[in-house]
Amino acid sequence: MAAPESGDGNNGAARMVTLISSDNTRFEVEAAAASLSQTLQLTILDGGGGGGDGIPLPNVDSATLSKVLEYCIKHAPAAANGGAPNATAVDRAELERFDNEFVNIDQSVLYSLIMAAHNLEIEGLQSLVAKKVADMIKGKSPMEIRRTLGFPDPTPEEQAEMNAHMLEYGWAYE
Amino acid sequence: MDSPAPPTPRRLLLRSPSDLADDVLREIFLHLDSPADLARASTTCTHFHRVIADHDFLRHYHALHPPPLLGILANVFIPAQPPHPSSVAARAFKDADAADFSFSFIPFPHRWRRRDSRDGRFLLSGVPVGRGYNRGDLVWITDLAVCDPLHRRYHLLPAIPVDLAAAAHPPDIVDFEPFLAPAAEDHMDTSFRVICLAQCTTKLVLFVFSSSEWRWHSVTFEGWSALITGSGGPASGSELSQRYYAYRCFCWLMHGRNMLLVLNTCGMNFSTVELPQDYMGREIAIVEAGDGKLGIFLSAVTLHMTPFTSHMSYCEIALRSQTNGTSRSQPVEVNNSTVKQDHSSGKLWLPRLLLQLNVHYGNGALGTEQMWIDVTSIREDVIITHLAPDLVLNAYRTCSAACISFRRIITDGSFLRRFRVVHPPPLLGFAAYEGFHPAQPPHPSAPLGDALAGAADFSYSFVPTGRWNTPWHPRDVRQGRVLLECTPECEPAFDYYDIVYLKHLELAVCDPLSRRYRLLPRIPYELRIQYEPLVDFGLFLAPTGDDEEEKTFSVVRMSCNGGMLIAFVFSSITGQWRIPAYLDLSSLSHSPITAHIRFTSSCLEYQHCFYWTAPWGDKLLVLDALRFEFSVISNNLTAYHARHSGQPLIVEDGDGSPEVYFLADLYGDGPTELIRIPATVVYVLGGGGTVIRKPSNIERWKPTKVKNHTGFFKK
Repeated sequence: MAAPESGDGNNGAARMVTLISSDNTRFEVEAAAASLSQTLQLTILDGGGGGGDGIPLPNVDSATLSKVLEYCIKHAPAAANGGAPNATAVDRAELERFDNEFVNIDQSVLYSLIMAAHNLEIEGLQSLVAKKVADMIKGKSPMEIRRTLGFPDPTPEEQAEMNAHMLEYGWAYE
Repeated sequence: MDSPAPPTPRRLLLRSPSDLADDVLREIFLHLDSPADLARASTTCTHFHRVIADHDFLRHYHALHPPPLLGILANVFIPAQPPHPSSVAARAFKDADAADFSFSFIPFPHRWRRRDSRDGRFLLSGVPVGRGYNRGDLVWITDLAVCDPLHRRYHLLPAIPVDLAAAAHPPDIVDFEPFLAPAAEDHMDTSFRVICLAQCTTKLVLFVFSSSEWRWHSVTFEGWSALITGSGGPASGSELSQRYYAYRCFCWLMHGRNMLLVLNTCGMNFSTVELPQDYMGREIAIVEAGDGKLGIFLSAVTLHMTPFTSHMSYCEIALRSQTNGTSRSQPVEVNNSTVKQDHSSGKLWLPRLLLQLNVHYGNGALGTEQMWIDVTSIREDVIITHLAPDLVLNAYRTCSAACISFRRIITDGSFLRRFRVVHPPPLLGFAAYEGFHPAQPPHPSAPLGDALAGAADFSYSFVPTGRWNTPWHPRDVRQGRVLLECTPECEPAFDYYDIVYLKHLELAVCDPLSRRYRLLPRIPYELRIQYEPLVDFGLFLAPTGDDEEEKTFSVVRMSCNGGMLIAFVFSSITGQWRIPAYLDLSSLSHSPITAHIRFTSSCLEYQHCFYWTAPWGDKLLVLDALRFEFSVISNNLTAYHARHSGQPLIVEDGDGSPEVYFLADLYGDGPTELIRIPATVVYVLGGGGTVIRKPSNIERWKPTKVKNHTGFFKK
């Protein structure tokens, strides 16, 4: 996905913008795809990111950004149709298949994706990764949830407080 | 080592829970579709707990995941029973006393009555502090409160302003129905709306209270009189059935008109839809059928009809979208695919869906909750044998526990009375002179008896003080009604029943559960003067034989002077006292009778007949309360001491005919023998006749156990 700097973004039918990851890799994508990010949208509308300027994203590394842009490029056409009211069932099924495959990833990547989706405010992606994490939590005990998410074991104080809450929700453990 | 250990691939590996921003966590938790998952997540760490316990988050969560059914609030909270998926949570909710359903957090809680519930809020109506219910209080309600039993908060609503109220004049109002409406769509979270529907003889007036504006406004439906003119409807009384709710619309069936009245709460406008087939007397449930259509389930069986053809039919009607804010009637389309035009019989309800139900059960549709339709199924043989009140109770509980919205249907007075006619109600307890004693374990009704004791007012505080300024005391109970008497002050040790003269009579009939009452007029002077002095020996509620028995009652006052037994009867239909029957006592006994001789003050009823032991001991008096005819069983028991003999006990023998059991006192120290008299040998005395025959056979048993069976209260 790492693309060499191209010339003028206005040459083609679609306007292109350049995004720069935290490790200084430059990505060139269609403005429509990058605009899925609420954070970037305003900058792009103001004409930013074109030409050699590029938009620096100091919180997102290149591996994550490439993954984010993969999502954006796939979803941009449907988003352009205003939430895809005219999309055929085939299109929708294809997007769903893509989404399912997209989050079938290593959990360390998933965490980076969560943070990136949140920082870039990409609504669909936020929801998609949140659902993935929710699926990981479902049906697990609090301790299993901690282990799944990689939390350190609770301190005795925290455990005591949690035990008190557990009494309150006793029905959820039967 | 300089570099950190490589991340374990199967973990998200957060350094601490706070690595995830609250927004991110909220997004994740909103995707947990089971409340149990949410609860477990909230106890994972303090950070998660703080995010999840936040009110805004929970409100957002509940908007996305409608809260599960926890149970039904009848007289008390009845948690959902297994195998309902919420049963564990419901049990915990009940055991934790999480909510205060007695609303004790409201000032003067006993003044308030539940009227409706929606979205966790309850609508209560009350009377001002310092007075009881007056006639007309149920027609025009001024005191309303909305409260949240979980967080123990309440709002008292302002009264409907006078200028708005002028649109509906109380004498003109046929029915007044307050209920909770869903909030306007842009205020889903924090606001509520209360609607009072005033049904007048010529118009419908809606009074709508919005919590976001904190004021009332009114909407008048002028098309009402055009709707209700013509034949088919009731001459008086409410035109509307119970309320149904679907798609932010309230619906009512119009009695005898085959129409559905629809109130769209978005624009507060009314419309009507003609139903495809007569629904009269049927059980109906209205569901959200998708695409904005109402689905109507029609039960082809009812609780009281035979033979049973057990199935349910279903049709859909589409509500045409209404964009203008006027309250004009708008046509609503009936989905033609479910209606068939038949030349011989008119429109037919062509079922799209047919559910076969067990023919050995009495089935009835009670209502709906989300995707579920609730059907009562009660075994016929249980009904017939009367032997298993716990089965009936379980069925009652099962259907009522099925969903919150059924609470209203099941606790509705007319439904309950009809239900009781078919299913003889279990004994719940005793309404005694000093109060109510609920049935005790291991009696199967014990939980329900406790519930009744909590829900009903057996101090009768809602009945205004009578003429004698003394407390009201129960004299009889029947079909959930209690006959109350208040008497002049007398020595507490004195048995006041003996000395009450007819002219002192002060009576009321009330329903302690719904806290309604009716004061009875006194017996007119001209009616009683020719028989004076009269003393009381029996006072009871009698069946009316009316098909509409749930709405009518009659009160019988048995009185006696030197030579006559006189039955004074009050009918709730005519509102007057009369004397339909009397008996000349001189023809029955050799011994002289004085006015103060005591009859057994209590009596027993079987199949509309009331039985007394006569004061001289050898006769059993029978009053048929439907035909008002006296008859006498002469049981030749002169050897027994009348004063200590027990009351007759009526039972059904093996082949279904009644038998009278009589506890007889042979030695003057209490009942010792049980006498059985087949009641079929009773002879009717027409118009003071004297034909008395001895029963053909009398048998004796030694009693094993003597119990007092009077004063039972059935709900």
